[in-house]
Amino acid sequence: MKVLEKKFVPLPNIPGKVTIDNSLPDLSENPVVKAKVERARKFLEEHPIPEHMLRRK
Amino acid sequence: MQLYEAYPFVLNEGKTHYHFQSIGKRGVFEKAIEFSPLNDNVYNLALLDFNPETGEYSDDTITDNGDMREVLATVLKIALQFLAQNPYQTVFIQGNSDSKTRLYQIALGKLFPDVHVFLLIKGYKNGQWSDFEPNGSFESFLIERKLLD
Repeated sequence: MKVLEKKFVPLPNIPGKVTIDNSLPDLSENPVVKAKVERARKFLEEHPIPEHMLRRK
Repeated sequence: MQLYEAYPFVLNEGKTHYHFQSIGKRGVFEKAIEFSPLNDNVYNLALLDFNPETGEYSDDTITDNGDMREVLATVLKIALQFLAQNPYQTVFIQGNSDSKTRLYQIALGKLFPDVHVFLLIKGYKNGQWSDFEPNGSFESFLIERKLLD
């Protein structure tokens, strides 16, 4: 059975220059980012998002 | 609120780390946004300040640089870019203090009239997740793309 892709409302293009810079560091191990992620995970564990609110394919 | 022009920004190849400059009455401040996976469906959006002298990132400063609209337009553009690449993901935003969360509430309230046609914004307050209200007092926020009817 073919699964149909969901169709989303198109997003606007906000003016502004975008550049890819591969020298930007990976912050996944940065202590500030890690602390924020842990805090967010804890919040979502304590206050789970209802399933119907999540986008799923 | 009219959507202002976003500041130019750079992003890494993985499209998880973004960097831009806030240019306002107090000078030039380096800002960064990092998207981090929280689970299969939700990414955390962290808005950070970068100190180029120390190379350190922080999330506990309030810049008050008089350019909130431009910063908001930039954060929105970055969030839209992320959601364009990841249309089935939900972006989670939470301040690290009551005052920062209040700032996010005000910022999203300003953006809401312009973005609610293409974004769904939810918030958590009084023990439950519900639709965002510009004058609400939410503890955290979810942003995701809106489906066509």
